[in-house]
Amino acid sequence: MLALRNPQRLNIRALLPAACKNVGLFSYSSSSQSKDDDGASSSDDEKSAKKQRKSAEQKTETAAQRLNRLLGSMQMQTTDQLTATDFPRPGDANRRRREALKQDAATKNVITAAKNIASMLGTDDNERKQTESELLAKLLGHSAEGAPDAPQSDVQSTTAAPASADKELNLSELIVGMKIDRRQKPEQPEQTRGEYVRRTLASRPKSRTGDRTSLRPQRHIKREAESFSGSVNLYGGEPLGIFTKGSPKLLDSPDMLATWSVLSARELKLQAAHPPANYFEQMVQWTAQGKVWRFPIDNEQDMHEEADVDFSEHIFLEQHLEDWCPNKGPIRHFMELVCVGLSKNPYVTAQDKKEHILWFRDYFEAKKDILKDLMSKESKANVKSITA
Amino acid sequence: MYLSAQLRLLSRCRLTRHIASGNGTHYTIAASPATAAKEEEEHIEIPKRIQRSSTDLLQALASTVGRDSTAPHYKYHDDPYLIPMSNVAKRTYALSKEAGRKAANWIKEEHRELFLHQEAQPAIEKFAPSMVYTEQSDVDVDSLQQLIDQGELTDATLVYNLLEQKGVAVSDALKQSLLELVCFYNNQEPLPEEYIEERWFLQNSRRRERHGKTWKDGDLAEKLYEAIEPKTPQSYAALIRGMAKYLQCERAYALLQEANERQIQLDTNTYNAIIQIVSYLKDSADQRWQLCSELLQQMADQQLHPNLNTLNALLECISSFGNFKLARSSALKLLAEFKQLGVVPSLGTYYYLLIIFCRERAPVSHVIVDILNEIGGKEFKIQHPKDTYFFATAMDVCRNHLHDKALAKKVNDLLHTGSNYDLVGDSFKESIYYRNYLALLCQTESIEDFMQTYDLLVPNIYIPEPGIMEEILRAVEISGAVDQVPRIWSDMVIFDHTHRESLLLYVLRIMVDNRPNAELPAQQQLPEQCAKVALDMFNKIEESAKRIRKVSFTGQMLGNILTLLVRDAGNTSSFEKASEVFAYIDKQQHRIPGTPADSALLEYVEAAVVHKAPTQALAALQYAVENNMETSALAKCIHDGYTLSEVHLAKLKSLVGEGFLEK
Repeated sequence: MLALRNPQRLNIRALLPAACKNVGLFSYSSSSQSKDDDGASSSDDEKSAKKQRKSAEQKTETAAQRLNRLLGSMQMQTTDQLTATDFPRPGDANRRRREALKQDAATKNVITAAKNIASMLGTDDNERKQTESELLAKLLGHSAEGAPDAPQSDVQSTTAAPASADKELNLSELIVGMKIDRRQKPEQPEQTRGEYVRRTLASRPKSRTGDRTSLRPQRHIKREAESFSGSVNLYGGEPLGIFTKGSPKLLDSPDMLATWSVLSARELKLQAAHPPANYFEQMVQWTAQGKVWRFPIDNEQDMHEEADVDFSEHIFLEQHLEDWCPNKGPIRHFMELVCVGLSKNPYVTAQDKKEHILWFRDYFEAKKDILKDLMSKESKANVKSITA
Repeated sequence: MYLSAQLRLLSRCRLTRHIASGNGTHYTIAASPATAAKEEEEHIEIPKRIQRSSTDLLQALASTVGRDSTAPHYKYHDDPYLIPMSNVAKRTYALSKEAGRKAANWIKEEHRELFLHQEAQPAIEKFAPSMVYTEQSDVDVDSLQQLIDQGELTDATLVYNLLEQKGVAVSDALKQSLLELVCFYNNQEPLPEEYIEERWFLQNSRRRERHGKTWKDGDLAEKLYEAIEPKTPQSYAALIRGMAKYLQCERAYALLQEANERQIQLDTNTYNAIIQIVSYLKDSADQRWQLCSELLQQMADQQLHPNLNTLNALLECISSFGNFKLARSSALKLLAEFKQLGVVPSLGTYYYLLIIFCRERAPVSHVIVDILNEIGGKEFKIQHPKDTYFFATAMDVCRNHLHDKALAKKVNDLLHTGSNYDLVGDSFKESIYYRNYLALLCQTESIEDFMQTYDLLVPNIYIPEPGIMEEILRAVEISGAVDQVPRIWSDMVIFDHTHRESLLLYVLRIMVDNRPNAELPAQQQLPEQCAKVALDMFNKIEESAKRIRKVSFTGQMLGNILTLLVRDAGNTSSFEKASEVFAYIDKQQHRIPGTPADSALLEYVEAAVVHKAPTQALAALQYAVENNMETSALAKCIHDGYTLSEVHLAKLKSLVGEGFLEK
């Protein structure tokens, strides 16, 4: 359909100035095309459209129509973002106006021409209107591409009347309590000529720019139209039958690679690891990384060497004195002080403490003579001092 | 001390069990032996001690702390100036914090002599400089074993090479472990475990990862494999899995066939690895499915019980089928089969189901409804790497495939069940999830309901991208909720969206098109707020001229700003500002493309009438005349609004001509 139209588009644009004069030729080409278009598919559509139109004419204006009108006018406002090509410049306002005037005259000519054609083709009043609006839509659509400024003024002039009516429609009033399904463009039941032309014009530049936002919903329409596949019974299908057929004996197969499974478990855990979200999680992380002591805090944490040593061996050190130290006297006194000091020291192992004490034993053993000498002298001096 | 004293007391008294109205058990110290006598024989059962790990207590405490949506994430520094307000800032701040950690680590390693002291008792080994292995190190088999257990790939290979040089015999079991380690990482040092932020933000840049072959042919792994004689099933399995993981597909498959020929019994996970690469081995869907069936048959012949990874690998293969009918039917067959085998699906399974059933070019499927019925309210733990893809995909299906708000809410509920949030993936998937969620809600919910969700999520959990902001503005426009615009504008300023021309135009258009109703008390502040927004925008655009990403004024934009300033009628300063804006338009008219709308000028002139400023009004008229705009309404307004002085009257005449006054 689109491919068919493309060559014709050029044709018609070339003929445009001549169209109003050479009505016969133009009517021939366009009527042949409309046959192509409507041949099979749209005859039903046309009938239903006619019916709808009639009913629409009977009623004054339904709520849905008002909404459609509103949405239709809204659509056009969305295209106000200027692109580089149609940037208005301050100087060319004048030129634009002149062009618009010229275009206006041309459009008027075209409209009368279209009317003529329609009256020639159709006998029925409705049919005539239909043909006329189709022709106009095509013509004005093309001129929109030719001169981007022209349709704007055209649109303004045609929308002026409905736009003022729109102001009376309170948007929020209409929309309150309604769900708007924005995937689907509303179907337009009423087909007044102006409406039809305007909508075609509004949708043209959109599809031309081809931005994603406008493409998306169209795709939805296409897909929604396809059959609803209903719910899926996830486990109701017919089993594959490789493992279940004839119930062969299956053995559990543990991972034969120990290191691999450790590594993959660790990687899996990292996949679900998030940055800590509070201080407790931070602590969990630090604990796991080994940066803090583990909970519950325990005096004996990480006590590898001394784990088997009883506390008594750390504290009751006098036992190491018994077999060498005199029972009384200054050496005994000194060694007892050493034991007290060592028993309070948490930083050395019990073995070290014992060795420390035994070092003193060897030391005193080595100095035995000197000590004896000193002690005998001292005792003599004492005796002297007592006698003296 | 106190406790032990109490306990001693207890043992002396008689301990009886007293059942108080069935509520539970109480231990009381019997006051009188008479009442206790009959219950004496009752047996006291002391519960067994439950072994707790060192982090259990902390985890229990952490689970009591929920997410506070009004506060930034814990990882950010608690200082108003350092709270990130855009996606870029979030990423930058988090990664800079981690960069600080890396720098500290580097110093610790570089100046190891400074960290040899041990403050803590017991010592914390993590704070000590790590062991460095060089060519000269004195190494033995134990240290190799230790390094493999820690997963230190580089050091382990170095130590292994040293041992080889020295001629120390390494046992086959150890070689096998090293082979597995090397195969798992493809002899490439992985990202250290502790760089959690880096991993969180990594996926953004690593999406095209799994495409080509990355396996290192003839590298250490294969040498190790050669060194193991005779070949064990384990060595086959390790090499096959390594090759399959790094997409050396052909050789992996060949190796599997070789193992089968030699009657070597492999295990389920090795078959899973091969099933995962079936889509690289065969081109068409039919061939792939056939190969899958063959592999499954082999497993059945070897009496291997398939597991969850088998199911997911098969579904991954099916998801690559172009023919959606075949894909759907075979996926359902598989599910039924594995259900009978007692394999419980993980979230990753459902992820694959979603991508099999909900495709762009296939009919719409409502499989997600059934999936949610199946797993709603359940809590999941990670079992498969693809488990983290589920939520982002499910939300995408809700938005783009089905467009269903109720489903989206269900998915969101599931995400916030238990610790399921851990499976949201990384920052990238999380933002996809929220992007789809917000976009869907703003299209389907009323603006009031939507704003509640918006308040909850923005900005601390999620910051909308400009595209989503546009969707939100569209929702605001449709419901005419102009009262939300000032708030959204302030968010846009914070999130740095003000250089997007389309967004600026959108905001202006919403405010101009929805004139606030002064009658309603709720909207009385609005004209003033709108004027502020407009002025703010004007200043922002003016400032942006100096920057790289600048936004240029258009006539229409300025016209809208002018209108909004003028509408704030109660405030004289606004009119002064409006005059300034107009002066700007007038002065720069050759630089600004386009002209303000006629209605904007008219509103400005009307305001000038109210504020008795004929000079401004005439300037506007002059501008209109010079730019070929609609002038008669303006002139009429000026003429009717003022009693003009001679000078002004003369100017008016010279601008629009004598003819006008006659009418």
